[in-house]
Amino acid sequence: MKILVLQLARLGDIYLTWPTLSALKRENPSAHITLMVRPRFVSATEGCKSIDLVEELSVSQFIQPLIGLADGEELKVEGAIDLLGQWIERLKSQNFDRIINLTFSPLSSFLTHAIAGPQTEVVGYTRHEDGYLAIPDDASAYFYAQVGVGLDNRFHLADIFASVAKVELLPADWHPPSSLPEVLGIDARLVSPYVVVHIGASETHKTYPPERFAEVLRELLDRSPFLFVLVGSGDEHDQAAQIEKLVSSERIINQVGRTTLLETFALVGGAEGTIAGDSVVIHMASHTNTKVVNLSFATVNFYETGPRALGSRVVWAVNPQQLEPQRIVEEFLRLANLLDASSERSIVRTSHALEGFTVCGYPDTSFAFRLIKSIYMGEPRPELLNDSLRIAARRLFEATELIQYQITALSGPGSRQDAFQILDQAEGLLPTIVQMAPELRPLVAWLETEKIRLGPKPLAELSRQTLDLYWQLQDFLRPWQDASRESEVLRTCHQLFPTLEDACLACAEMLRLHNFTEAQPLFLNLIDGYSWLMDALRPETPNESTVRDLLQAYENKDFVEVADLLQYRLRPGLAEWRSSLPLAIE
Amino acid sequence: MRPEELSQVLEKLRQFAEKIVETRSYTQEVEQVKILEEMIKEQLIHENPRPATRPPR
Repeated sequence: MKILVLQLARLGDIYLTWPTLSALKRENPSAHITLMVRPRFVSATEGCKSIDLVEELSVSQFIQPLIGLADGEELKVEGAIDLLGQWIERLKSQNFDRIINLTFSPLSSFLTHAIAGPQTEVVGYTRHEDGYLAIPDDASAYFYAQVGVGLDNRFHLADIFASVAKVELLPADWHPPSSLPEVLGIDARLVSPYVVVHIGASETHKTYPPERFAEVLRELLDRSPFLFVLVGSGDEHDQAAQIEKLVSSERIINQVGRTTLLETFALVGGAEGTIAGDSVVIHMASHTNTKVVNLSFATVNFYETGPRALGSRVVWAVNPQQLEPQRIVEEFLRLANLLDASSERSIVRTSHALEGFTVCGYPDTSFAFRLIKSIYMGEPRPELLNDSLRIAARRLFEATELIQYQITALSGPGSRQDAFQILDQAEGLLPTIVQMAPELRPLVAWLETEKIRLGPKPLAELSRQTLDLYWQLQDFLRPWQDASRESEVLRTCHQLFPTLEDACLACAEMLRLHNFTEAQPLFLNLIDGYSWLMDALRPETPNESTVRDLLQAYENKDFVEVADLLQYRLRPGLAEWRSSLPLAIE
Repeated sequence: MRPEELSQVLEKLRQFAEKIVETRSYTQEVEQVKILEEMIKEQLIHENPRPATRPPR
């Protein structure tokens, strides 16, 4: 079996692809696996024994013929097309049995379609014959709808890659490169226990300032016995020099810009722990099972790309400026068992399960993810906790009803153009509702993605399938509507009971004072109110005989009896009934 | 290559693809032009944007 895997993202994503490659090889031992990467990141494939061949996508080679044209000169695209066409043909002629696109980008989707043959099984983004985006598998559709910074996914990217490739990951699929250099060959002092500190991150806005890193290191030198090895790329040389100068300790070993990826891997593998922002070092540590203190900010989703080794801790802040050095120090000391592990605010990797972090002391923002699990995994719907969510869910339900009506109208008599216009406007309501209640975004994202997945079709077929999607959405929303209606009824009952109880007493007193003018309408209102309760709380009707006796006495104009029944039977009966009602719908 | 040059190339590629689509519909050649377009777009942002941050359509 020939398998092509496209991973055209950066170093970190390549390392996160290793477990999937390992599982593919384990499940298909005779398979020949080709991994397509960009030339700049080929070194991240070194030591991955599951890869049989690395295919480089050299973008510059293909766009070279398009560059350097004089103004007004006609674009000679044929040269570029020839080069690209030859490269695609060479890959296509390999007749891959499977193509697994783990890149989720427009470029990769076009490439996947161009390379796939008629017999190729494709997962990941690709294209329809008319160039429209195709998302053939559910896992990629999940990625399209729910994954990314600012969205609500909490599954790790490595697990999502595995789902796209349709493989089950085992702990053994996380492994370091097949052969690593000796740590002592990098620095002879590393015979003592040491900690790896990656001072940079994959992007500048995720990077912790050097002067604050220095503060962290100064305190850790005082409070722990370790050496601290600084690692990073050549671009981070100046920051490293600044930190080294500020800390000024022989226990700081500066290896920034001096190690290869494999040497960095070896350093991480031999370390007692690692301190790093969102960077490739985190993923190396996941492969070597080294615990990490991960500095994470709002521009990153630590659930997706955070550390995997159990006991790893995430120190989260909105941005690097808001992250106090003391928090990093304390979390590291906890990780190294040099401080009591309990903490008011912590994010700790406690399991290898899909959502493997235990979060304490941060605001509960789990509604949207519980909603995601409900949509995709059939778990129970989360409860709508406040009125704005309840209103938004109701609006969504109403909007879907309107949209369904308009879709149906497309095939009925009347102006199709009008129906299209109203449909457009009605569909435009969905993002507005999501703005009202962003927690419901996963539902609308699911719908929009599934609509894309329908692909190009004749209008009638497209209408039918779109309608079906809206039915599915409505089915999902309906229990919330029902629960919401039940809640409203219950709330009204709780308000009505005391009013009726008071009315029983007031009416009894009026009757005893022969104030029939005021007593009669009050009595009739009371009976109306009671009837409403009976309807609302059916089949429960605990005071039925009392009301029957009451009406009989009223008909007989025995107002003394009516007053007694109101005060001594109906009023306590209502109070008892009220106390048996739940306070809220569960 | 400067961003404005890349934008010009991108525009010319779009026109090139449109012409083919008008006369011969969506062909393998158009697909290859689309690939080149995407390669140029990536250069305009930066070579390797985080996949999740870009809509794939």
